Formats: sequence, structure tokens, C-alpha cells
Amino acid sequence: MILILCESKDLSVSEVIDWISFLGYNYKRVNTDHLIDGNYTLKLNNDQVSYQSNSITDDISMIWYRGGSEVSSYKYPVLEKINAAKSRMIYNSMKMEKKMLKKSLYDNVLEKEWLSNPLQIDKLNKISTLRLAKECGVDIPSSLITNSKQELLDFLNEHKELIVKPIYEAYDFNLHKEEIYMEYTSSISLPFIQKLETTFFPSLFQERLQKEFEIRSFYLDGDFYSMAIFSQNDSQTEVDFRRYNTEKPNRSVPFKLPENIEKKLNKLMRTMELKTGSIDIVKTKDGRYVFLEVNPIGQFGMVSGICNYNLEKIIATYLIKNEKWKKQVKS
Amino acid sequence: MNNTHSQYFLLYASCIPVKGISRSSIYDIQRNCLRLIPNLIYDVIKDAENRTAGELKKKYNNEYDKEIDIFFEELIEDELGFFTDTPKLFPKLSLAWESSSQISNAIIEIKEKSELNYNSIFSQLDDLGCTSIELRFTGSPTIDFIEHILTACNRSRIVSISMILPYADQFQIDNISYLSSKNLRVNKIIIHSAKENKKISNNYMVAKIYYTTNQLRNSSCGQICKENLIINSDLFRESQKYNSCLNKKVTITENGDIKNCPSFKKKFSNIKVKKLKEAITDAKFQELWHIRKDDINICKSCEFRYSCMDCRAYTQDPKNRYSKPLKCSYDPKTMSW
Ligand code: SF4
Ligand code: SF4
Repeated sequence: MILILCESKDLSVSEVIDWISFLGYNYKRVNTDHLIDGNYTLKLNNDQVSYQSNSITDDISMIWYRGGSEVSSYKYPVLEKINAAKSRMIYNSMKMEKKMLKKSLYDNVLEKEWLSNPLQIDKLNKISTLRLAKECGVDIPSSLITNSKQELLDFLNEHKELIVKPIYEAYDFNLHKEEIYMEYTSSISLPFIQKLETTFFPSLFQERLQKEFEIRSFYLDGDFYSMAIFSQNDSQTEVDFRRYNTEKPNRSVPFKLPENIEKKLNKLMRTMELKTGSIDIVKTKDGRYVFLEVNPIGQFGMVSGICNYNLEKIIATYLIKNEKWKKQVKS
Repeated sequence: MNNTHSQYFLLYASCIPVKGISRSSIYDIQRNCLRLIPNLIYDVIKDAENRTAGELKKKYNNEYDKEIDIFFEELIEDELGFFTDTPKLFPKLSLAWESSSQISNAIIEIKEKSELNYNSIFSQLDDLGCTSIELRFTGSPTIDFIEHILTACNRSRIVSISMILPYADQFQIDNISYLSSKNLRVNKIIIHSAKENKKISNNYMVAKIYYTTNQLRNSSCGQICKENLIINSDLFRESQKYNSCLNKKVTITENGDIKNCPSFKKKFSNIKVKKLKEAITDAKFQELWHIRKDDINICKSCEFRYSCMDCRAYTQDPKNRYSKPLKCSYDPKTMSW
């Protein structure tokens, strides 16, 4: 059977599940954000894991891992009764407990076929990925991590235009109740740099690419399903197309990456041991295909819908095929 | 525009030209709108697909160079197309249409004190993957009864519900808004035979509520006019191969008859004696699903053919299975409604 580990609100997963049932197969879905309130038991003595009173160790050969950010917001009644500093400490320790809780689930079902293995995903980060990409012959943006104003000025000299990016991930910051601030990619200018102190908090800077269009490519075990996104006509999305323009969505069309680019990216994905992911690329005006990043648990719904790739069915078929294969190998 | 001489002009893949007998349309199925163009322009766009701008102009003996430039500029300005050196990297949009549902939409006639088991009907629909339901109430249902029905509809795969109710005193705006606010899957409520025409929609409600003085009967269905053309990817693709109204549709009438739509006489057994799944897998039941717009007389030459409902219950000539829908006044030849 197929086991799906995902967030309860993941609608794309529901659509894949509809296909799995339509094709006549069974699945079990575990909402990782409900590990606390969803009746989860791990019996260490006999390696049995169960969720909602169903075993998720027996009869499972294929696991689709869709991540899920946090184990859900659990209200700790005790925290309301103690002082703020202490409650912060307890909160942090509970956070680690929750993280390990999730890991306990993955560790105990590891001897299966994964799409993709969470332990593998955990090893990756933006910087190491860029280095691996370069090793695989993939073009990457000229990048610099520094805390020095002088280094930054030299870098600007070399590239004329720069952007700054979070080293880790784009975060949702809940600054005010009604205003959500998301850390997008932004351009930085000479006057901005001149105002900086001689040293500052280390940040990731990259050359600003002269985009012809962006490419979002969904990768599944050697196959690429790509979409070109034209965002230049619209200043709102010029630097980062995640600043969606909802009234007039960016023109997005099916795209076929040149074969040599697919080959190198395939090598990169195999090196990282990722069977699937969402790859971001920029096609520059001077013809470069520049790799930006890969999201191992990328959203595929938009690429699938706009380009009519029907990825939901393709993923369902993939899971079924590999589940059967793994079962055969076992027996 | 000399720099475009050796480039190819393409429409964005979601902007799809469709030729009619007297003029053509570009269906923009990403932004869901439609642009009418002369047939000559359609031909130019098609010719441009495998020619550079230079070659294209030559094909027209270089007599229209300026017009072609202006025309492409306009399409670029309106974000319908673009120039590229690598047209092969921009494949066309696949127009395939696939669905993980055996039934995607249903019309259920409902009356209070019926002997039908609505719970079982909705659960069967859910198993078949039905995502949208139209509830046609008859008689004078109480608010409690409607709530009871909506609760029975509360199933995982049913995501949108529309309701048609004959006006009664209990259907004042307060009651109706209450129903809508408690049932977020309801996206449309039509109250017919009302005392006045009005439309209520606001940001606090998912549903749009319409009161109309018209009396709605089954025979009111199937109207096609300029105002109710629908441009979207799903309908465009589905109608390439399937009937745009009846594909994957099922109807259950007041007394449990299973039909393609309420306006047909032909019934396929009754829900009291047959499982829905059996009734709808009958090849006869699915026959009409496969009648495409491209098969219908007159419609097949109409530039709107992938944006209207292909009514099969009311046609100009009931003896001809490919006859044009009766309630459409459009004439593609003269381009008048
Ligand atoms: S076939 Fe005609 S009458 Fe029947 S549901 Fe469709 S539009 Fe209405
Ligand atoms: S003529 Fe046919 S295709 Fe054209 S709008 Fe009328 S019903 Fe639709």
C-alpha cells in the first residue's frame, strides 16, 4: 500500500489521492500536522507505528513524503500559568520534542521506497545545492556571502546590479496581525550599500540576472515538466515572481528545456538523491539557463494546471508503479 | 522592427485561435477572456507558427509588412503573444481532458417528505467522485429541511453546490444568508417566482444570491446568449472531445428516476432499485457524453463553440442528433445574435 505523509491542508495531495482511488489502489494518509492530536502511537518494542488506530508499518512499501512545516499549533495549558521567560524556554523545548516526534515517524518506516526520503532532504541547503549544481556543470548565479561592505562594493563593481536573498529560506514573518511580511528577493543599489556599516550581518548576494523569462520545472525521476513564466511586462513581479499579480496573472506556458540542460539537472538531482522536486531557473537575455534553487517538496499544482500536464495523475501512476515494484523485490 | 526579422512570433500557449465561418476568436484560457479577430488575421497567426517574421512577410509578397508589424506589436502590447528564436522550446498546450471522477456533476430534484434516501444518494455521488451538485427544490421546503439536505451533502469530494428554490415567505434574505454562511460549499442560490429581481453578494458570503421574478422550470434550461458564454481551460478542453453540458452528468428526479438531464424523457432505471454506479456505466447512458461541438450543425463553424453549453435536450430538429441547440439565436454566418 502507499503511505502519504503530508499536511492536512495540502489540496494537491487530495487530487493525487483522487487519482489513486480512481485507478483502483489503496493508500493511507497521515497528516503530519496532526501527530499530536491525531492519535499517533509508536511501539518501540516491536517497531509498530499506528495513526488513527491504523498500522502504518504493515503492508506499506511506498511512501510519498510531502513534508509539512510544523506539527500543529498545540496549546500548552501550563504555559499560561508561568512567567514569560520560563514559558519561552518550555516552548522551545517542546518545539524540539515536536521535531523529534516527526522524526520518530520517519525513522521507523525507513525501510521502504520513498519519494523523496526526508533524511536526504534534511541534508540539503541552498548554498551546498548551488555548489553541487556547479560541480554538475549547471550554470549558477555569481554568488557571495559576506559581512563586509568593501567586499560587497567590489562585487557590485563586477556585476553592476545585485540582489540580496535569505541564506536559508523565505520566511513568513507575522509582524503585525493584519500584515504578513514575506522575505522576498530584492534588488539593492549603491546608495543602499553606502549607508551600510563596514560590517553587517552576513548575507547572500547574487548578480542580478537580466531575465528573458523564468522557468519552473517539476522533476520526477528523470522527467522534466517545465513552465516558462514571463514576468518582465509587469514591474510588480520583475525580481521575484512569487509576488503574485493576481488580477492579471503572469503569462505562463509549457516549456521544453534544452536537452543538455535537462541532462545536467538530472545529474544534479541524482547526486542529491532527490527523486522529485521543483526547480527554479532563469533564462537570461543573453541565453544562459541559470539554476536558482530546488524545492524538494515543491508545489506542482500550478505548473500542472496551467500547462495541463496532469501531474496529479502522473504522480499517482508513479506511486502505484513503484509500490508494486518494491513489493515484488521484497517477496 | 528589423531585429524580429529572423524571429518567430507565437501566441502564448494559453491563447488559442479558433476559426469560425465569418470571423475567429482567440480564447485566452489563462486569463479567461476572448478576443474576436478577422479570419485573415487567424491565417496570419497560423502561418507565423512555422515561419520567421521575415518569411511570413514574404509569403504575403511583402505587401503587408507594415500591417503585420503593427498587428504583432498590438498582440505583444496586449500580452497575447511574443517573439522568440527558439519556437521548438515552446510546445503547444495539450488539450487533453481527463478526470478522476466517474460523475463530475449532478442535478438532484428535491422535495420535502420524499421517500427517497438522500443520504444514500449523496454518498453514492461522493463515491463516484462527483464534485458539483445542483439542488432543484420543488414545493415549499422549510429552512430546516434545506439545512438537513445540505448537511447530507457535506462530503469530501463535493466542493460546490448550487440551489434553486421556488419563492416562499420563509426565503427572506436573512434566512437565506444564514443558510449560505453555514454552508461554505454553496456558491449560488437562485430564488425564482420571486416578487422582485435582485442580486445579493458581498465579501462575507461565498454564495451569490439571486431573486428573480421569472418562474424556472426544467424547460427554462439551455438558454445560450452572449452573456452566459464561459471561457476557461476546463470547458475549452472538455468540449474538444465531449459534450459540454452532459459529459459525466447525472440527474435524479423527484421520484428517483435516473436520467442524463431533467429535460429528457428517457430514464435509466430508478435509484430505488438500482445503484447509481450501475446505471451510469450503461453504454447507452454515456452515449450523449461523446457528442462534441465540432459535430453539431452550424455550431461547428461558430467561433464561440468552446464557450457555450451544448444543450441536447432542446434542439432545432429533435430528429437529428447533431442539430443545433434550440435556444441559441446566434448565427455564425451573419455574426449576429
Ligand atoms: S441538456 Fe439542455 S436542458 Fe439538459 S441540462 Fe443541458 S442545457 Fe439544460
Ligand atoms: S451557434 Fe452553436 S456554438 Fe455558436 S453560440 Fe450558438 S450554440 Fe454556441
